Amino acid sequence: MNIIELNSVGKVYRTNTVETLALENVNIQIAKGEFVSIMGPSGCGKSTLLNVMGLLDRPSSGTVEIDGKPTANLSDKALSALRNAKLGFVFQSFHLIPSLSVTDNVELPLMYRQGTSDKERKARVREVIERVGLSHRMGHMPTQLSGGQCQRVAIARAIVGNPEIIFADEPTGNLDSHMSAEIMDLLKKLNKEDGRTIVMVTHNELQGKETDRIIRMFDGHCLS
Amino acid sequence: MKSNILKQTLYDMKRQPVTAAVTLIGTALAIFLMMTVMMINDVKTMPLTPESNRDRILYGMNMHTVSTEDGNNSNSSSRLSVKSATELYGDLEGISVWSIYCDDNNNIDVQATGKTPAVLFSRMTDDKFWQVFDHKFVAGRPYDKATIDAGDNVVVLSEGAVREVLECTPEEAIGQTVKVGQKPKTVIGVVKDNTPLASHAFGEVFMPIPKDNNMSWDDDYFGSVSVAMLMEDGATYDQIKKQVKARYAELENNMKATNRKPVYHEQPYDQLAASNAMGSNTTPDTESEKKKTLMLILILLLVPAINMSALTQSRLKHRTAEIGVKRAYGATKGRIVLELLAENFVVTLAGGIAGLLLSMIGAWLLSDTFFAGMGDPSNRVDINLPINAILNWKIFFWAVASCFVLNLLSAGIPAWRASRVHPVEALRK
Repeated sequence: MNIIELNSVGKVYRTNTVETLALENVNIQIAKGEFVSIMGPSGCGKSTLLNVMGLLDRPSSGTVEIDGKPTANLSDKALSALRNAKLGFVFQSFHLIPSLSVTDNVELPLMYRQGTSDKERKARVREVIERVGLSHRMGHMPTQLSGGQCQRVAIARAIVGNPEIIFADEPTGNLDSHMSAEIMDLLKKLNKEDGRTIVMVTHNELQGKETDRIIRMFDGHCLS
Repeated sequence: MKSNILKQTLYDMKRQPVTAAVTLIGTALAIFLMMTVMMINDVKTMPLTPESNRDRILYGMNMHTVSTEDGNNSNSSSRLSVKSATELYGDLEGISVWSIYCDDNNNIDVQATGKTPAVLFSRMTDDKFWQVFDHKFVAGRPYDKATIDAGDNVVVLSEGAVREVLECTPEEAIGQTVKVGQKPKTVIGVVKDNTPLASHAFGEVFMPIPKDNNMSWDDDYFGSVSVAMLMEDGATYDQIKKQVKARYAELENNMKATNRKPVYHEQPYDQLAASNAMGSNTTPDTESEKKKTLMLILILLLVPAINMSALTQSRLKHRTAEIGVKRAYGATKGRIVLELLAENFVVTLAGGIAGLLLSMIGAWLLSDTFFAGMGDPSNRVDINLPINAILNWKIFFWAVASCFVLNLLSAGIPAWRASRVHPVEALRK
């Protein structure tokens, strides 16, 4: 069963003078539990594709379905709720909130979810922080962590709400090879052990080969 | 979430200390100015001993007549005479007690034998004055009807007057003789010092209105007294006004022979109208006064809010990516606006509390400046600001409400704009 399905998706960015075609007639199906990487040269539309799949951006044409549910007519509020329930995000530059501790950063997605008690939230946060191996850093601030640790916190934040899909936009782009390997291992573990679907944008061919499938992009088109 | 809001606020303040300081000081000054205006306005109507029943005291203050002859525009206006006060306001239904008293400023020389004379604020009243207004007697008693009818030369002094004139304790003052405007009078009571802000009841020297008073003129319609009436529980202002209006109609009928008619001017006045009464020939325009105060408060809020809005906008620019992350993880635009407003409210409230404290300390220490001319145009008497003029729920409520409005004005638009940034754009920052 496909958990993500894109049909004839196009995305055009318009300014007063310029029209840029970022995606054109993209058709992608990603099965539940698949670990997919998106590769291609800079500016080919990888991140745009990820944003469209992640419901952060609306396509100019075509349809996006998440877990069989069409998203085209969903309101901003409904899209927010869907992202909160089903999707997790990992960014290249971590995007941790500097004013909040590791625990508070990880707790963030649960704050936007109705019906989770304080006790349940705290227990879940502790559980995922332990899972990414940072239980000794729970009270630390992001500035007190290494790049690899920051990305682990970001991954903990991505999985704390128990989403079915994780979108990772060059998650190792700011890390050295050793830390990159650690993060890749963690993502693979989340995929294999939890059965989470992972869609990862990467420039790294070796990392791409570690995933189930590579979607190659060029000039807004999907090549494979 | 509440703790996150506090953490975020503190973090922001630490990261941008100058901006935070400017915001805090700006807020504090805005709230200080506003609360000062509010306090000055509030003391006009709030219960202030000895005018503790301001919510049910009504005042008949003026007599104004105009000519009924064609082409004759002459008009006369002044305080009431005892006769017109009694005819217009005496024994109205729904009034439990009413008093006639001199309402004009009357500084008078008061001297004890062998002592230096002092100029004190005197007020002539009837015996009911002590029932309408609740002066606290620290020694002796008030004068009653029998004393007035007997024509006894008695006087009630304030504690301050006793100190200044007799240089003794209130108890020692009772029975002593003082010269009030050269007339010897016996001290029969001493009241606690009272504030000139209670302008109808205030006084340092209280004397009975003489039975044979000659304080009237012009066919006995005009004089120098006012009437204060205490409404019974359950009586309404409209009910009293209706009766007075009918008495004015009767008076108009009685005055026909004089070719003049009285002008009603919506009397009796409640506390708000009485505090806005500008002259004896005009009707107090309370609505216009309310609008003026409201406009002043709005300006006092709007000017700093516009400046602080720019600061908030620049502060939020640094947090665009964070807002993008929150949007990605399911925060709606409305939620983002609420969070940002809540964070800003913490700063506004902190500044507001500082401003409120500043206004309270200022009002306490500089009350003679803050309330200059109110009740005592000569500014000779200490204001003796009662504590309830500063510490009351209304002031706190308005301070918090003002912070809330200031917060909305200064952070509303920046927060709304921040929430509208596209998540993808925000995450690129």
